[in-house]
Amino acid sequence: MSRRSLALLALVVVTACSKPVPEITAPVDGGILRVASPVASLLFARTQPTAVARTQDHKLRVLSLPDGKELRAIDYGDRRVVALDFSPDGSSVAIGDWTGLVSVWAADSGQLRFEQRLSKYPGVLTFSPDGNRLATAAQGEPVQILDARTGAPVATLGSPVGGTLALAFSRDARLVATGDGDTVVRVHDAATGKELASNREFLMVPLAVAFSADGATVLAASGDKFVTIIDAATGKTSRKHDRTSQPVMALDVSPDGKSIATIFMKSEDMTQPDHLVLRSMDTWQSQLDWLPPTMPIAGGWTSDGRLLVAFTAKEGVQLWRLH
Amino acid sequence: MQQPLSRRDVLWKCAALGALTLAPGVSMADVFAWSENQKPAPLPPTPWNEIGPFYKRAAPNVPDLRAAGDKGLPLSVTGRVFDTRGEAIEGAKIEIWQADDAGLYDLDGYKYRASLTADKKGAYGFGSIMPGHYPARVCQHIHYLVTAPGCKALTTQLYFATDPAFEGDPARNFTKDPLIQSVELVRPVKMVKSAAGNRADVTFELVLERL
Repeated sequence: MSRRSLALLALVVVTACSKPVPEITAPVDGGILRVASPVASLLFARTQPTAVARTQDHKLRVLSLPDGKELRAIDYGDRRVVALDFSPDGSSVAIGDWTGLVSVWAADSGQLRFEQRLSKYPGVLTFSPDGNRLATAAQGEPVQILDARTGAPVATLGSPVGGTLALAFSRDARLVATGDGDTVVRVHDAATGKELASNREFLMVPLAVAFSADGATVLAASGDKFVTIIDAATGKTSRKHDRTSQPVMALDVSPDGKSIATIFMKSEDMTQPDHLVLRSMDTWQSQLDWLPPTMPIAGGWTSDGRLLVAFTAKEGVQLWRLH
Repeated sequence: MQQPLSRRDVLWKCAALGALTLAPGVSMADVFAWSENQKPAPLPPTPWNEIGPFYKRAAPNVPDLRAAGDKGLPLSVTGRVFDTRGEAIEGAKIEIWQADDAGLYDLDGYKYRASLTADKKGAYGFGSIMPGHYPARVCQHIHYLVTAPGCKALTTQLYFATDPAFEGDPARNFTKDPLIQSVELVRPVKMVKSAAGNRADVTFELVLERL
């Protein structure tokens, strides 16, 4: 699609929205973050103005924002990547491939920190907010929490039927919430792996979990089409929001803790985009309801409190600012 | 479905066909006694497949998932549940879920979802339709979650050798769906003609690992 077409599309989308509208953000030129090779996926750091792009030439490219300057390129070889995470502090980047090999590099130097061999391809690969821990799990297997610098094992969580499909650390990295294959949301001590609380009210597998900024509550969502607020200490449901038309597949709380991005899954065809709704954490009022024009390759909050969504573009990545 | 021959039947047949001859002093009774003391042959566990995003617990125990007028090729799936020692697991719980003919999963109710219980011989079976192609997946499939006391839970998926994605050669083409990591999960399909119309029959044996 040409830049002119994208601009026209942006104009149509912007015009169609009555609420505060997303806009193409301009880190460099017309919202295009220029990258040396076509981008397959992109992740933003949370506390540093950096992002990492996985490109089709089998490289992880660490980029500075907003100028898009390439800081480091890491060659990951001829591997079929199924999982990617960039630590929120921007210090480490991890990939997991179909063979179950997980590799972790230092983002600044490109030095390989460690590798871990899983029994199957990874279902979980998530850094803690401080970048000190990495949660990994082969599909269907228990989650292991590792020291993200050395790979040393810290704790192993329980072994739910069907494994873990969603995982989030609290901001202080003391707690881990999991959405498990047996449809249970569990809260664990991240240092010991001990299960502290559980919520068994879901009928379907929880696909998204997130902590509130203070770590006191867990937000969880599944094919049940509810976002449920769970007391992290007891596991009890404290609030269940109105049923939605589609399942929520991702939840992301803003750095200031005041807003939450709920990303919906088009359940009849997961290859197509569905709505992204930005809500107030306090009132649950919608602040923005946006249907992306195509399937985004990335989305997330940046260090300065912007909510960005990225799409592939001919010259690199096009960024939209939603908040 | 044709019933498998018992071990005793097989031995008689072998003796009748000359495949089994008895040394002097050995009777058929001795052979039967020896045979009965043999343990079943060990079986490899059924290959694992991921659970996916649409599992829903508390599905009803209904052996026929197809309602009158449902679109799609009628499908009959039968099988038995064993442990790796080859012993049938009575009471194993078999939860299944699949897309409809259009490739859609029912998230709001329990259409094409069931929870079955294996009988004394470990046998289970259900009637359904051939699932449609879910857009985010390459191949038609039925999800399984099998649990039994003392055994490791199994999540897996059943695939069909007739799936167009395999282009008639599942052994060569099963990796077209990256989630299929073993061709063992791709089962032959037998077309059956009856007064009620065509039906596809599939056998899918399940083998659980003991804890």
